[in-house]
Amino acid sequence: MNARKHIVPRLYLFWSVALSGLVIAICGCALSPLANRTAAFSTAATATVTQTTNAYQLVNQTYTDAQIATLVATYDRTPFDAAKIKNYLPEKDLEVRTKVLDGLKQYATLLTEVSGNQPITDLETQTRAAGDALVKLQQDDFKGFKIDSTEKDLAVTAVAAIGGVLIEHERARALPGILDRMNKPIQDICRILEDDIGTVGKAGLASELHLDYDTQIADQQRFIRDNGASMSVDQRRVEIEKLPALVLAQRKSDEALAATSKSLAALAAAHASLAATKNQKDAPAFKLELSELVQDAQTIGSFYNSLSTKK
Amino acid sequence: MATTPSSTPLAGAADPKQAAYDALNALLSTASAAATNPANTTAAQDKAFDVRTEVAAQLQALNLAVFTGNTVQLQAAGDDMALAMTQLKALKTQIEALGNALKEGAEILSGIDKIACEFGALGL
Repeated sequence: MNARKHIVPRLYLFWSVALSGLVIAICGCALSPLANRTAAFSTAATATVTQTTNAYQLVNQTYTDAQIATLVATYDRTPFDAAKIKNYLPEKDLEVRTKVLDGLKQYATLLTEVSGNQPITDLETQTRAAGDALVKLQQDDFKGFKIDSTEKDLAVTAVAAIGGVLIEHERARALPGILDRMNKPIQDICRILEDDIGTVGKAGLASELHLDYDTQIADQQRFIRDNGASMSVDQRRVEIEKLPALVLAQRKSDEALAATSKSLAALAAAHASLAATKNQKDAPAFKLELSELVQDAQTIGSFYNSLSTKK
Repeated sequence: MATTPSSTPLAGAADPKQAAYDALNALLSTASAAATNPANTTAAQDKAFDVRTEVAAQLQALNLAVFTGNTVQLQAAGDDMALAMTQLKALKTQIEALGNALKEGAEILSGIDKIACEFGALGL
């Protein structure tokens, strides 16, 4: 009998705590604006990392295509040298980029995990299971303590809200400092990756990509000059049609690299805004940066996807 | 024939490297045009193709130099992320620990249910 006397007051104590939690929940169980922004940033960052990786692949692939075009155009004059067939971007330099981009991606993922709703959802699932157990209490000795499902839902919400408040408190304490500390490396990384790409007309990958298309166009013309006379009309048409296709592909690729470079700049700006507005409730500048970034990511993403479908 | 883009910066003259790069690009355009000009003999075209290939190789080397030259700096910037990453991982662990503590609390409630049932069964 003594045990029973102890159990019932403890259950009522639970209700008191749970209802207090509900009050706190009403005051602010929703995710903070900063957490919402970090989640949005990490989505955009992941997209930019993918674009940048695709850009390196595009440069390497186009260089290889140019090598093949030259080989075909000059095969009768120049002996084939297998040693000359290699990727343009050295493996060790590419490895550093892959590692840094993976780091950025991991940062983005961790930001999502830390600022997202998952920990609270997990807690709610667990609490709901406990609440279900309480509803099942059918013993006669507990007639004084009957919980219906509405009360249970109320308690589950309240306990989850307490958890949410505690988690949000931890985030608010640590996240701004982390964002500040991460800002300089992010700015540096984006600036360097932008510099890797550059713009057409300045030394860098954008110019290399443009040049490799020019080489393919020149070699294709040479191929037609040397072999056109021995081709059928249809064969000749097919070979000539490759020229405008190459010009269009060159334009698209130039645009893709320029957009990737722009995305990197936008990512840096978005992170700077994120760090700068860490204590603000609303951040219109951040939203603007992010909307530009997402728009760029969508444009460029569809282009890179179209390339991978062609291959 | 080389498709020089309209975005070519005009301010490059101030930078000697850019000036050299621009000169090479101009040479590439001239060689490419000569290589594909039907008015030229095949031999002259081939000669121009050879020049074009040489110039393109030099431009490729300059383009690659930017990429490889950035690697050390990029590595350093990547290393700078380490501290903040460690702190972010610690925050994640802390949040998970909080969630787990609250989950344990909820499990205790389930435990109370079981105990209550057992007491009931014993007729206490």
